[in-house]
Amino acid sequence: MSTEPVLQVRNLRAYIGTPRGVVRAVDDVSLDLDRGHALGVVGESGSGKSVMARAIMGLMPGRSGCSGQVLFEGRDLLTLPRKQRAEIWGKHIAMVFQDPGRSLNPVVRVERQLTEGMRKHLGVSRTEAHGRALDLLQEVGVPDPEKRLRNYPHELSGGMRQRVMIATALACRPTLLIADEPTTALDVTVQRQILDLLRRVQRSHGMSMILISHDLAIVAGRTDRTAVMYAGKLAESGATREVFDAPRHRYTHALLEATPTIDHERHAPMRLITGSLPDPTAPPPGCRFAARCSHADAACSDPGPQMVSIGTDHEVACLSPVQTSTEQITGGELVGR
Amino acid sequence: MAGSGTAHLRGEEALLSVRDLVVEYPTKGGVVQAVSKVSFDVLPGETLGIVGESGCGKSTTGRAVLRLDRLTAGQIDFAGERIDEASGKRMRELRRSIQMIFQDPVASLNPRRSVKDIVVEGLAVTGAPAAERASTSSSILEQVGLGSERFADMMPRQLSGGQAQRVAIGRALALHPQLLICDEPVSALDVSVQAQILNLIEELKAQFNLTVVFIAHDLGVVRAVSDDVLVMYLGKVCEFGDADMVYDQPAHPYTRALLDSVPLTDAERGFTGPALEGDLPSPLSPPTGCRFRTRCPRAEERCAAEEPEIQEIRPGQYAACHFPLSLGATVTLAPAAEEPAAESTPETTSETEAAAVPAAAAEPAATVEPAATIEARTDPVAVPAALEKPAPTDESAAGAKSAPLEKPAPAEKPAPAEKPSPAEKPAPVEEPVPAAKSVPAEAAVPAAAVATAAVVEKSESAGEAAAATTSEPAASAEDVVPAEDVVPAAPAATAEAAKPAAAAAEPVKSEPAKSDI
Repeated sequence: MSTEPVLQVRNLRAYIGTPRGVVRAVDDVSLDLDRGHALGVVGESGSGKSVMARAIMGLMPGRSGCSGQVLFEGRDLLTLPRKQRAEIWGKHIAMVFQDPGRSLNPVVRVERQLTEGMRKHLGVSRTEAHGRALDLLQEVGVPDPEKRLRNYPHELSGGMRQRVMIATALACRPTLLIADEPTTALDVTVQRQILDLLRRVQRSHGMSMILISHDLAIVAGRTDRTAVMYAGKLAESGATREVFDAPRHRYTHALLEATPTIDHERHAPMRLITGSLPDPTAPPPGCRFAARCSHADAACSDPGPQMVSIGTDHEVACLSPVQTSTEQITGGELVGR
Repeated sequence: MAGSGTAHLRGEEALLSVRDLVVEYPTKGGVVQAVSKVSFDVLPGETLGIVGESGCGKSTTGRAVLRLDRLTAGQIDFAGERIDEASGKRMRELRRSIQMIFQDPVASLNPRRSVKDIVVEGLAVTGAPAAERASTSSSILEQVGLGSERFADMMPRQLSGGQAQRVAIGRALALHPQLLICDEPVSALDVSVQAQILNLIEELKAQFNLTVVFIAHDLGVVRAVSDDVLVMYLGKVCEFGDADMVYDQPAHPYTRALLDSVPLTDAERGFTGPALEGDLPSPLSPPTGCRFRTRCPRAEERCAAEEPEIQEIRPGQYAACHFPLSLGATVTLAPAAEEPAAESTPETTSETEAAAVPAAAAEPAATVEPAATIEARTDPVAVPAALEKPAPTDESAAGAKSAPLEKPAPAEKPAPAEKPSPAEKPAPVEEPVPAAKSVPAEAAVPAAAVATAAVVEKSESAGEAAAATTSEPAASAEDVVPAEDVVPAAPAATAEAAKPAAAAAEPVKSEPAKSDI
């Protein structure tokens, strides 16, 4: 197995034309995903995380708005002819969407939706596909799979539908699974089941996974690396443990502080982030978080931060990163002690 | 879970008391009992948090208090007055004292009116003169953080979610209500905005002397704002008590499971405990006895046969469960929680997924404490059983017994770590619970009521029409899909709740306004 990352995103931009101007949904994002690893992408709504996932899949309408490179096993998905991309979809890269109710075909039985991919990509016979579908449903924890195969999506609960979605995504044993807010529509106990399931299949299949969520906590315990996005830009990325134990970007730090936890002290005021997202059609120069940041100064807008390495396996785009106890800032340079 | 009963009620001094509330919806598949014999009290000045998953009836309960949904049975008293049988006319007056804010902030605002008008629609209904409305409008907008001139003339669609929720809060407060019901007020908002809104609600609560019922599915959010917490499952009350006690020492297995399912912002530990099996049963044919028993790791035959009554587990904490978690039992669950803490979570659960339900609970316990007790080894199932002791009186014994069990385990959770003293029973939580509840004794009442009473006559005819067309029949028609919290129904009803007459009277007037969009 090569050590080359499965996915290399280089300077990805996704601009969307709207009546109010061009929305810079993803603006110059670069990241790598290693084989067998799980990458969490977190950000609030409008951060561009979902658009990025779609851009990586090549699902953006009229690809004209996307530039940069998305190298999947060495091939640039952005320039690949449509026919070859279609070969990759489902077979090598699969996606799980937020709303399982809407992403399953309502008038097609579960069995056909599950087996469609493997019949097309792997050319297996109908009987074999049936057997595999049963195994898949078993694997994702759907009870009574034989009966469920004959069901229509509306006959299943939300959690069951998401399990079917995941089984469908796994049908061709993809190299990369992109899960875009896979549990947002689900209740907390079911969300728990689905998150455990995703992590389990990702590990047992040696699959790479991108787990996208607005909820930091969803990504925290279940990924190897985490990337934090804000207003179309990458704010911070690194080993998940690093990012959560010692967030360096002011935005990540503030976001973690603002997340209510189950051990929150009663009536204690929440730490908050004042202000709101910048206008996506005319983002401010430099750091896009500067206007809401209590540590911003003139340099944050001009020239603005670059993504720099900080500590081991940790990158941040911030001119006055949160200090850890073992480091101090001298003249803008970070010096490890 | 299936709790009915009244052990947890606080009696006379409550501002709002709900007794045996039942709300049913007819559906094609039969009658769904969305809320089934739920009782609770809210003391003046306190915040009651209602948590539960979708379909547990928490929103329906909130809406029933405002009589936005028709009650099937039960009694609701507000400030000493029975509102479950109040007339439509009286209800419209009462809704000035009981206001509500809804989940979808943009949809709950009239799309054709400007922010400054929306905020005082309630006052317009009461017939307040234009000058008074204008001044109230600007002062309220100031108070909800939208003081800037530019907001006053904006239309709802130009607002962000957070700004729209501020307008909705302003609209509710313009009438100086006594009780504010917040139905998932922040679940549609981003984390950074959510914190702003929660802080705003807390500030205004103090400023306006509000009593709050805060309905949400997010346990972290509820913890941050609540004095007491009511946990619901499938239309029933599971647990009620002081928020700190319920969160730190849950007595009901469902509460425990809910808390264990909350993802942590901690890279080391994904969750605090094992996952809950299975799905919510169909509300059309809820399980007999305790409604949670189909997913409960502690369920036994008795749970199917007999519905548990709410009983006091510890002073100030009540649960409807035949086998509540005692303090000792909580400890045995805690080590199980530590196992998956290492990255092994998925594997662990994968095994338990296949295993029979009771075994799932017993197994981790056995692995964690092999050295601790011999009984634990020889008969793992016996351990939880022995510690179960439903009767609160046995608790000190259970606690004493479990203390040695707990020692060897790394004290990971701060809460259980403080507890091991065998004398824990009388004072498990140092906090003076009753004191917290006594709150501002003088319920700030009358000003609004008096003011509104004077103008009732005026608004009557218009209000009648609006209320008749919208609040009652609309609600029942749309709510045919009940178990979910029916979102579309909410906005329509909001408009009505806040300003019955306005909706009927205004559309004609606002038609031309539309053209300047």
